[in-house]
Amino acid sequence: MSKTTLTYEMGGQVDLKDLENGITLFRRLVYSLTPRTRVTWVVEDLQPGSAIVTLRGQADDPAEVEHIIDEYEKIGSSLSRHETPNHARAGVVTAACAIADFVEPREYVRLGTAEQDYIIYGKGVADANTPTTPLISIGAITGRVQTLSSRAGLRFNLYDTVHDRAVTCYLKQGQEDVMREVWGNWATVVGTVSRDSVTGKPISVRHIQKVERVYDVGSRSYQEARGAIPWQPGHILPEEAIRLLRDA
Amino acid sequence: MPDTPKILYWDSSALLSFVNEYPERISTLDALLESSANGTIEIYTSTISHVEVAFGASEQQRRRLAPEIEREIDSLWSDPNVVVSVEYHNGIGQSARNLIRDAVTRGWSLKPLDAIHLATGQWLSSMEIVVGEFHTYDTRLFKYADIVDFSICEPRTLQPRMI
Repeated sequence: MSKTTLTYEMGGQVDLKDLENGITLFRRLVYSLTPRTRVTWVVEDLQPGSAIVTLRGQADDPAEVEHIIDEYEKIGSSLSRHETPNHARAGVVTAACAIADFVEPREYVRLGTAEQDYIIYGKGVADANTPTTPLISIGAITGRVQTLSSRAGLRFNLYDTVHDRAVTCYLKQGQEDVMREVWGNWATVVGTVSRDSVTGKPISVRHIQKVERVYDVGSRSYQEARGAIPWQPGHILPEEAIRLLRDA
Repeated sequence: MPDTPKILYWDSSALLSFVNEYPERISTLDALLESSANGTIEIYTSTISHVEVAFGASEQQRRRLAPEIEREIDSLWSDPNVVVSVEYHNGIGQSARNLIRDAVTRGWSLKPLDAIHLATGQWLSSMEIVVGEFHTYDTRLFKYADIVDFSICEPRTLQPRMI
């Protein structure tokens, strides 16, 4: 997976002032990591709700972009552990610490790349002893595919059925075809799911194995299940049948 | 009787009762599902219910379910606007483990699958999807209301659907 994007999310309710301040701090961090290079950062995606912005780095030499993204991951890793980042340039450390200060009265800030997510919580949400590494498992998330980017690595957002919140999904090269039918539709995405370790909310799906379209069903389709197995005298009660499994 | 809460969690026994069209329960279940389809209330369950309902139905029949019956049962999960299925994940597992530990200190034996359902309800509440009632026909679960943040009772509604 080529590393070309940086994602920055401000969790919780974000008002206009938060948005302005948060984006300013993100810009300072990105620019402090990008001195004397010919990398241009363009906005690839903006999502409301929890404000999420994704930037894509453009440069003649992709290694320049990858190097900056590696540095961004190191910053994220340090901040998520409530540690001061170790970096040769003081400007980077200052910009990173400003993000740590910014998050303090808020829910969280997430620094993400195509490979990693780092969540920085305010100390009121998670103290130094709380594990902040996202929970990773192979799993499936169902939701509506809302945005799709085909530039330099395929990425899309899935609004999950439980929270109606954007989950960033990263496809592997060559998986473009699986998305042909699903844009704007319900789909189940199977892959490596990262979840916020404090709230359990899904953040991203990587190493996607399958994207399966979930077809819209007619209204009241659930009624087809009504009486599929009619209860009759002599049958065990529903709760007894379930109990057989749970007590087995 | 107070109003039915807006957000409900359904244990598998409520869902299997609907599949069974169980005579004394079906009008209440119909009314609640209709309210969910209308958007008046929201009904959540764990994806574990998908397995439990199929298993329970099979046990009642004492035979393997025919594919067409399985498809009919699956229609319960096919519309996320009526019953929202919540995936099991590590956070729910940790919460279930804590509930089992808490139950032990009270001299109760909370089974893992029961704990996963209760923990799923707890997790939803922590996500600001605050579960008002956990609906089950298994009266053995009622006492666990002491260790969770919602009441546990049989499905109920103010106005059961007449037909």
